[in-house]
Amino acid sequence: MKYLTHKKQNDTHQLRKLPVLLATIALLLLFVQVLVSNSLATAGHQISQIETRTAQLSQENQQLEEQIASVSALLTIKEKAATIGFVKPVVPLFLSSDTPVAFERH
Amino acid sequence: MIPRLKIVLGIFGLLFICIIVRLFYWQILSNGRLAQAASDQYFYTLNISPSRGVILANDGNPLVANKTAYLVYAEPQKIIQGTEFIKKVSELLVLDAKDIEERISQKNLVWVPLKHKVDEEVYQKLKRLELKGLGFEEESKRFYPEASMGAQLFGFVGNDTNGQDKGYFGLEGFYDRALKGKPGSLLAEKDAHGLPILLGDIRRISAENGQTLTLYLDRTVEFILDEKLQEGIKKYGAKEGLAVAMDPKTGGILGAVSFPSYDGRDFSHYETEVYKNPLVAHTYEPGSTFKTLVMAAALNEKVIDPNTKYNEEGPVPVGEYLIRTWNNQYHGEMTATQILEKSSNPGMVFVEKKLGTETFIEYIKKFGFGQKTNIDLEEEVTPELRKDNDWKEIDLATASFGQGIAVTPIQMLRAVGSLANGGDLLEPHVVKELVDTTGKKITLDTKKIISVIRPATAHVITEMMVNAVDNGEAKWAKPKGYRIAGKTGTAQIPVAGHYDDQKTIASFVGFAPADDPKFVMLVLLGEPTSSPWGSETAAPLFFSIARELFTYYGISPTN
Repeated sequence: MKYLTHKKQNDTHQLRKLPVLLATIALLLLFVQVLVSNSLATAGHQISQIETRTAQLSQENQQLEEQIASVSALLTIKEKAATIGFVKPVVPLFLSSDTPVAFERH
Repeated sequence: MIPRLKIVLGIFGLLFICIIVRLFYWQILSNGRLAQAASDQYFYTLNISPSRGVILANDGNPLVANKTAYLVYAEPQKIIQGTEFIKKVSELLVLDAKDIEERISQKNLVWVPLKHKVDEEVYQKLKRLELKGLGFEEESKRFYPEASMGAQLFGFVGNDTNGQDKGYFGLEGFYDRALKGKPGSLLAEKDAHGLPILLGDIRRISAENGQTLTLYLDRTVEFILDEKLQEGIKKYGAKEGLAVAMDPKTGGILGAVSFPSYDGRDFSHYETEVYKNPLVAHTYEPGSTFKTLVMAAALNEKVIDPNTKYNEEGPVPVGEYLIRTWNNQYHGEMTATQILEKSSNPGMVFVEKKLGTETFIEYIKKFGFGQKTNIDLEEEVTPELRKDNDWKEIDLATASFGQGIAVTPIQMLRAVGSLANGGDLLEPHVVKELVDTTGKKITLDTKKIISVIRPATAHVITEMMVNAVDNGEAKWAKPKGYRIAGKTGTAQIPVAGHYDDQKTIASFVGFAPADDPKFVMLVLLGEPTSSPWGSETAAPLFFSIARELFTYYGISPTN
C-alpha cells in the first residue's frame, strides 16, 4: 500500500514536469529556427555574390583565352618574328643519311 | 417591415453579385496577367544562352572562338538630356543621329535596342559617359584570331528572322545545329531585395553549350596557301584564285583558300556573291587536268599501257569538227606517257575511243562527277552530267581532254586524290571530330565511297604524272629533287554558248611526294593576264606552295 502511494506521487511529479519539458523543447526549436532563418537570409546574399563572382571569373577567363588566341595567331607570330630578325628559310639544307666519304675511306 | 427587409436583402444580393462579377474578372478574365504579376513578384526568371561552339585547327588552336560583346539599348523614359545623348551615342556606335532620335522619341516604349554585338572598347567608352537611359546587356560575338584567313571555309554567324544567332555558309551553316547548343532557363524564388531564397522553389534547366569542332585543317598549311595565293593572284594578274590541299589518305582538308573573299568580322559590308565558297559552289571546265583521270580509266581497263603507240600526225576529225593540239604542233609517233607529257588532245581522243563510250561514261561517274562529294560545307553544288544517251561523239572527244564537262574544284581534287591513295574515292571532310561539353567525342572516320582503279593502275598513272611534271611545259618551276605527280590545265571559259577567246582558267592538280603522298593539291587561277596558260601561271604557283609545304613537313628531296 505504501509502495503504491509512493508510485502515485512519483507519477504526479513527472506529469507536472512534462509541460516544462515540452516548453523547453519548443523554445529550443524556435531558437534553432531563428538561427537557421537568419543564416538562410544571409545565404541568399552570399549566393548572389558567388554567382556574380562566377560570372566575372568566366568573363575574365574568356578574355584571357581571347588574348592567348590573339597572341598565338600566325599573323601575330609572323609580325613579331620579323621584328626580332627572323627570316624565312630560302633554301633549306638537307643532310644525306648516306655514310660520309671520310668514313668510307677508313 | 417586410418591404424594408426586402430592400436590405436586395442590397445584399446586389453586393453579392458585384463581388461575384469582380471575382470573375480577377480569377477568370485577368487570371493570366495577375498570375504573371504575382510570379514576377515572387520569382525571377533568367534565360541562359548557350555559348556557341568553337572551331579548332588540328593543333587545338582556335580558328573561330567567342568574345564578349554588348547589346546597347535606350530607355526613352529615363533619358534627360536628349541632344547630348543622341550626339555621343551616335558618334561612338557609328549610327545615324536621326535614326537614334526617331527611336528614343517613342516615349511610350520602355526599352529600345540601339546596336547589337558592340565591342568591349566601345562599351567601356559608353559606360564612362554615365548617360541616363543608356543600358547594356552582355551577349556573345564571333572572334577570328587569324583575321579573315579561311573566311569562306568557316562561314559566318548572322541573325535569323527572330533575331537569334544563326550560322550561314561553310562550317557555320553546315554544323549550325551542333554549334549553337541548347538554351537553358532559371526560375528562382526571390526575397524582397530580389535575392534568391535558398530553400525556395528553384527550377534550373542548364544551357547546353555548342559542340567544339576540331578540323583536319592545319593552320600553317592554311597560312601558306593564303599568303602564296595572294602573291600568285597579284603576280599573274588573275581575277580570282583558289588553292586547296587535302590529305589523300583520309580525305581531310588540310587547307583551302580562295579570293576574292570577305572578312567574317564584317561580312555585311561585302557583296553577297563572295559568301559562297568556290571550292564547292563554283563550277568550271577542268581542261587538261582531266586527262589524268581518262588515262587512268584506260590503264585500269587495260586498253592501253604506258608504251602504247599513237601517231599524232595532225588534227583529228570528229564529226564536223577538227580536234587540234593546244599549240597546233604535232609530234608524230608518241607513247601514252608522252600523250600526257605533251598534253595531246588528239592523243586523248585516241584513248577515249579505245575506252569506248559506255566505259568512259561509267568511269566519269565512278570518279564522282555528277554527284555531290558530301563534304561538310553548306553550299555544295554539283553540275549535272549529260544523260547517258545524250553523249554525242564530239562530247565524248572533248570531255577526254576536259572540255564540255563542268566540275567543282572539290570533285576534281577528290578524283585526283583517288589516284594518289591507290585508287579509293573518299568522302572529303573538313571536320575531324565533334566534342560536346561533357567531353564526348564523335569522330568522323574516313569514308571510302568506291575503289575506282586498282593500286597497280594508280602506281602506273602516278609514274606517268611524275613524267608529265619532269618533262612537261612547267618543268622549269619544279622544286629540284622531289617527285611530284601532277598535270597542268588551261580551260577556256564558256560565255553565252561559245568559248571566250581571251579568258582562261589556269589550273594545276597534283600530289607529292609521289611515292607516299602527304597532300594532293589543286591550284586555280581565274583569267590570269600575264599568260593564259596553266604551265606559266598555276603550275609555278603550285610548285611554290609545294616547296614551302616540303619545308614545313620536313620532307627532304629524294635525289
